[in-house]
Amino acid sequence: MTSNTARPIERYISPMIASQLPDVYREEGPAFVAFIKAFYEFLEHEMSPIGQSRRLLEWRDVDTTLDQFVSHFVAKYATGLDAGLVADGRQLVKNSGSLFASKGTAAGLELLFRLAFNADVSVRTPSDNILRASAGLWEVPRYLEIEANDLSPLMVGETVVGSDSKASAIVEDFLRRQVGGKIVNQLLLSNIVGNFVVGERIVCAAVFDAMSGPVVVGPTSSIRAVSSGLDYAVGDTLSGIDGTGSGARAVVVRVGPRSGAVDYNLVSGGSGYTLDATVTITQTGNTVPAITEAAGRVSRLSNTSVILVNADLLTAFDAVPLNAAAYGFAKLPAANVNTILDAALTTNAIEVGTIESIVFAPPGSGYSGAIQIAVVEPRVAPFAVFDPIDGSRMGNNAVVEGFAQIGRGAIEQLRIVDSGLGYQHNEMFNMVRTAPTVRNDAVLVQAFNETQGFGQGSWRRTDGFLSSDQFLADNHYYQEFSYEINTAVSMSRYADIVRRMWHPAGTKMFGKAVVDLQINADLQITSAAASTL
Amino acid sequence: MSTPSSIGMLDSSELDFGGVRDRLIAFLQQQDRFRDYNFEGSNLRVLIDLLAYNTQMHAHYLHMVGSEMFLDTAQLRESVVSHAKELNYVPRSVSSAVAFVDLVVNVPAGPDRPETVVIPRYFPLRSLVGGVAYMFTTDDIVIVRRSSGYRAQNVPIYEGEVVRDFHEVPATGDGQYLIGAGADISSVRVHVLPSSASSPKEAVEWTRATSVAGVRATDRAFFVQAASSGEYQIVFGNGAVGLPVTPGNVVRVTYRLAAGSAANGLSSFVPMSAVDGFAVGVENVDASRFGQEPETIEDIKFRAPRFFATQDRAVTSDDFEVLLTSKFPGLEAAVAFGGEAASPPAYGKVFISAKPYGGTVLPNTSKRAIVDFVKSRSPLSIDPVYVDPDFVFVGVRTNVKYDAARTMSVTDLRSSVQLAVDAFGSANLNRFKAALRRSRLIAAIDDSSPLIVSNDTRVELIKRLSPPIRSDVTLGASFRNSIDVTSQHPTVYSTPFWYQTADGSVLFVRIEDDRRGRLMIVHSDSQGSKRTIASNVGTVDYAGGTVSIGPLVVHQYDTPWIGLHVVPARDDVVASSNQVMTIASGDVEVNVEAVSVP
Repeated sequence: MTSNTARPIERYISPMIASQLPDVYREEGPAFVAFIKAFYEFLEHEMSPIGQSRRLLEWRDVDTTLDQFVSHFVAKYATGLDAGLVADGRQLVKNSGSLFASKGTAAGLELLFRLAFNADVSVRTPSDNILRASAGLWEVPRYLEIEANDLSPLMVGETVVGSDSKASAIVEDFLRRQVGGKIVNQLLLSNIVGNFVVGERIVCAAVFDAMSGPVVVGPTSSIRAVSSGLDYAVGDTLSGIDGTGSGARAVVVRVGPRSGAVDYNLVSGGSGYTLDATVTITQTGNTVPAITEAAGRVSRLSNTSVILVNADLLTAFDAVPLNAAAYGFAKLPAANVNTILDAALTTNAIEVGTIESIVFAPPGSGYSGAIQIAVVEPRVAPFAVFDPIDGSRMGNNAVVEGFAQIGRGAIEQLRIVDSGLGYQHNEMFNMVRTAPTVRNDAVLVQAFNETQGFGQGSWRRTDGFLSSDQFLADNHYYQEFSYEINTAVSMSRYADIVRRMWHPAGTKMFGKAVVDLQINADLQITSAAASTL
Repeated sequence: MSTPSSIGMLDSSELDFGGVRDRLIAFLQQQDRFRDYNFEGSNLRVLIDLLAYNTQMHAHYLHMVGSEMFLDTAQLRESVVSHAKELNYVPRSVSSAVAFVDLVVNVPAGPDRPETVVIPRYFPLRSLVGGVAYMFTTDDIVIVRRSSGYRAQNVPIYEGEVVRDFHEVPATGDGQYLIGAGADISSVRVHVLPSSASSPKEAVEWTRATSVAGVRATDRAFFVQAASSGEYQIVFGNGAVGLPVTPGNVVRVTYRLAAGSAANGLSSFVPMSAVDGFAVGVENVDASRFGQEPETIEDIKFRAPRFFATQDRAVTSDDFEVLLTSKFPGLEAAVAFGGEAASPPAYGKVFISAKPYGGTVLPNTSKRAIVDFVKSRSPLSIDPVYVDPDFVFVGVRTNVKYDAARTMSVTDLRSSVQLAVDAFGSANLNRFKAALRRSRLIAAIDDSSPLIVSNDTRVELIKRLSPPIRSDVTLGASFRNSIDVTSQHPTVYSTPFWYQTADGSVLFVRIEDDRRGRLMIVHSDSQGSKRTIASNVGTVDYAGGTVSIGPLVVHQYDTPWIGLHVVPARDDVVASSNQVMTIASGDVEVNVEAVSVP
């Protein structure tokens, strides 16, 4: 059995001659031993046959072969490349496989230029800039908003599944975006099959343990017009202007008439109001036979501040004697004359401010002429606190002129075109018309976060754009089978080599000289300049 | 010159015995112990001679080994084949000649005539030429139908004795499955039987793979690689790329032992057996061709590195050419050029043209096979298109002056010149991208006989036109070499043909140019006076080398074709694109003139 361990070839045997001969030769014939040894030294000299034959394995290796043998390697492994293409034949032989295998590719051309000219090169394909009718690709981003999770970025590139809906999609990207004062976690999706639902978990086995993925919280996938003015038209575009999110956009898809709906002019927003203020609507003047009543509520405040108010008003305890055993306060029903007020009474912190807008939903119908609209804040008005500016009674000082709304173009249905980010489910917020013209009065809408949302969309390429960076095909430069080499090397130097070694037959080559700028960045600061600094 | 330090050192390039001996003596004399020895003394001289011979033998051996180490210097076929193996190149084997025949089964008339008769694979036919018999066989099953008169048309039959070898896979699984020298490896078919006890019906055919690309672990594929002494070896998969054979299997290898080019040109075939009791006849024979010897050592050394450079992909024009000549042994030459070089440009296309050995045009099946082959190796968006070679004939008119004082018959001299021109054409033309250098042709004519003092030789390019007669035709000819426009004589002209004039008379005319780019029809009367019959029957683009004729009505021509001659503007003409220049004997005119040489 032979050993697999290769023994190195002994380069010199002459020192072993004496020990290899029988003793009798060493004792009786030292001259003979010396003669044999000398002969072996003669043979083993570097330039002698034996000396060289012991180096045959070195010569088989292109890195260790003799310089004069490199051309043989080139002839075998790099034929066609030997015409003065590369000074270092060893390097050429070692790279020829890569060069041959990458013919016709940009990487192959880069390698060829690196080997041949030690120069950078890039390839441009004019076919990328050919005008193609109807070739535009409209891309609408689709996404989910999810709860914060440190592992969320690892979902990029993975397929995710909704735990309840079983909808699936590939995560293209994960973004953390700041919207107002909060962070929104956004998963950009592609290849969506089915519809995710808000509230379910994202299942991604490659990242999370089963059922421990983040919960879907948004975005807004549909929107409802709660109230609007008149004279809107189908196709009008609205943009969100407030709310907890940002960027929502919608288009009007249906409008309808209003016959005696409640509308108003806010003469003064007053002060001390909350969003829960009571709105009372009363038809004045003309007697209207059939009214469908409207319901109003404050939808937006400004100049807000937080105040503390007592919730246990004395009027509710008119019949309770002071010496009663228990007054029956909500906070402490057993409280009586001996109890300290702080323990007995309920105090609420409420946000109050000036009314900015009122919503009438439903807006009602059948109203006519002037309508009385009274807005009272029941948690503030009873205290008869007077506004220090105008002396009016806070919580009951808003001045609203009501009137019956009669006309066309009230928004009845909206379609969302950009889900925006960060809106809460069921949240109401205001939108204003931004196209075709800007309108300042707001439309109150309600957001519904139910499934994946989508962005506004954009054209991915400009292939079909007239007067852009696209050109008409000319069957010369602008055609499907041309390419342009951009390099600092003169085309006269490389054209033949490229044609022979790389050029895909059937295509047309163009060359473009680019200036190889090398900026000397050495800074020389004189003492005067330095002192100026 | 030896430096003191190198005195006595032997250079491995030293192969002369005397030199080796002198250097050995010089080396020994440098050593103190042997400085005073008399190396010319008889005993020591014998010893020195012996060692010098030994050294010389080592040096010679080293030279041989060194030579065989590299592909471009190797001399032994085994070495060259081994180097080619490293480059993934399988040298071409001998190729069977193929003839195309109609096979007719003679089924007697009667009510029980079968619907079909099946001619089995390897149905034998014999051709006997000069006392040598060549065996031909069909390569596939041929089904002949009653509806076609029991005739199978254009059936390829291949020369070679069909041999069947059986190899039992040894227990180690790594058997040697050699195919003998002389086998046409394109004919190899491999069947594997489960065991030696299996019936032939259990044999499963395996297919030959020429590349590991696309071969799956479960594919029944085999590879063929060159072995020593002109043999080839069948290699099976290893379980990762292709299924392996298992110990106990029996490998049945069927192939043809071909005679190569010796079997070309045969056109008489006799069936060696009947089919189902019916005699078989052979009709409409297209003579055998494409028989080819095994690839020579020089060819392997030339093609293997170029095949490696293709990486089995057809990207550059050179790739197409190398792959075609490697894959199709019957092609003498192939050319490919991208559509960007065509006129008008046809981007996205690659035009391929090939010239078979001993022929001019390939059969359609071969053209389709070529296109299919390169399509599978070229970029997806590139469309390979086959075009036939465009033959341009070279007319040679030489006026030879010879020494009148020396004796040789004029006929012999003419023959010598004719042979020299033919040889020049064979050596330098008849292929794509060939160039005709007039100076070398003149030299070849000068060298054809020691009697020749000088020669004045002119060349013309000729296209053979075969227009339909008595109908309007438009003809075009592209010579792709610029045409002389400086001469006082016509530089574009045709051979004579019959032309009917407006008054109804039929004249023997020819086409000539007016050196201003227009073609006219001229008639020469018996006194040699020329008369223009029609003044504008075509145009000439002298710079581009194209001639457009027509519309024109040719009444008749007495020759197989009308020759359209042009005088090239330059002494050297080059065949480009799919052009092939060739010298036909009939286009060589040799005039001799005796002169006195002082």
